[in-house]
Amino acid sequence: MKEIKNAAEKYQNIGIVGCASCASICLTGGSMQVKEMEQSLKEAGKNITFTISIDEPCDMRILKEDIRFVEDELKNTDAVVVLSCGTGVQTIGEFTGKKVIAGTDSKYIAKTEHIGEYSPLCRGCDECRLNFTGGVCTITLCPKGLLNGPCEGHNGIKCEVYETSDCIFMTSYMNMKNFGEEENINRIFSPRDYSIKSIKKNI
Amino acid sequence: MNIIPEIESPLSENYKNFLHELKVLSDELGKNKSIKSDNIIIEQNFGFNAILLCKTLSDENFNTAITYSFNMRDKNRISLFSDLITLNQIGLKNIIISEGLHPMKTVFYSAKPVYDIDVVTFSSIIKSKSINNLIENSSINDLSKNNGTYPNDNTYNVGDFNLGVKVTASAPIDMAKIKKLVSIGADSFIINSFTDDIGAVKYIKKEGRKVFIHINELEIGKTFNSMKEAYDKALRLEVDGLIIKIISAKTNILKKF
Repeated sequence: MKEIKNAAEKYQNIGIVGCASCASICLTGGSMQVKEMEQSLKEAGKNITFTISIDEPCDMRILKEDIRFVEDELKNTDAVVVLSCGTGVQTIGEFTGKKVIAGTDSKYIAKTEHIGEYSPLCRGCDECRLNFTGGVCTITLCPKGLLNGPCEGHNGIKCEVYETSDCIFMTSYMNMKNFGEEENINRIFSPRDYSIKSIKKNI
Repeated sequence: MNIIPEIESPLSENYKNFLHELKVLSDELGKNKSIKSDNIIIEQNFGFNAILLCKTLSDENFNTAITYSFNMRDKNRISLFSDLITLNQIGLKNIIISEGLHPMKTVFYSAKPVYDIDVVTFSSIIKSKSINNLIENSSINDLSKNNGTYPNDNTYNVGDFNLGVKVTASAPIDMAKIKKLVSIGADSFIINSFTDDIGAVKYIKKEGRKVFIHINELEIGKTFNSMKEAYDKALRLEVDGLIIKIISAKTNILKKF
């Protein structure tokens, strides 16, 4: 909250947008969190011009439709606090032309274990190697993001960095063994091609 | 069997004092008939530029060979390539590479970990003597099949190196990595501590490569009762040497051996 209040310091009239999709499941941007944010900002002396939960604020088609419900209020709004991932924040900023304030810290693309418990599994690197790694992503799950691991720092089967977690290369190896993929165990990956991520503005 | 000190390049102390201490250490090693040491490893970590230090040591005609040790944590492929060119040009041919301790395990907790390329890939590039794989690249390429179709351009020739690689040998996946590094042509293997229970030492020796055990001097008195105990254990494994990381000149365990 402190970060959000600092970011909103110069702005008096604030709108709040929640994400009724991913952020809602993560309990960071649902209708309850929108209400909590409204309360906190009011206590900080801000005038709340509108609150709205949009199904998927990252989807321009939905955003265009739903934002019309607050079209008039938006005109009198100085800044919009967005409770969604970074994509939602930037999409709303671009579309409305208003100052946007990120209300959450986006961490990763994750599997939902339970509500409130998530496992990051993919970094969206645009060059999937899961077919060669026993179905686990070492770029996401190794803190060093290695392709040809493990590193020399692991402790038996435990990770050097997260000492209570297994090294992901152990899992990868066991899966490849179980699937009879010896050729993949012997594979040496070429270095990552970062130009794939940096050249494209739109896919 | 060799005992080889591994020393990080100095932080804030005057490097000339460091050189003086190193000369004292080197002379002591020479005088001590009970141990044989013909190599000193200078490790780049946070401190003074280790390539420059290795060059200075070489120019000062130390009695021992100098090995430059560096990691994949701090430099991307462009910077690593620059290092290889520099090392080649100034004639430093002994190198050791490692992935390196993650920044979260260092005082630079919040630093960006680079790991642009890894030890296996970098070894492959060094031994192919060309960085073409780093310039024109498809990451799904399998380097073990050497199926790249790159132009033969001497501009990017990085020269010959005596390549050592740091590995662990405690799990089957370590053995798979060691086999890859053998097939690539790594010359020496530095096994992190006495964790070998999968026949890695025997395998590496059978393949005609050198193998060393690496320990931290702080392990003496903890994991090992004495320096001699660690030395004898390495002797029984029939490795080519015991590399001891010296943490500071004050605790320098080699002075007590």
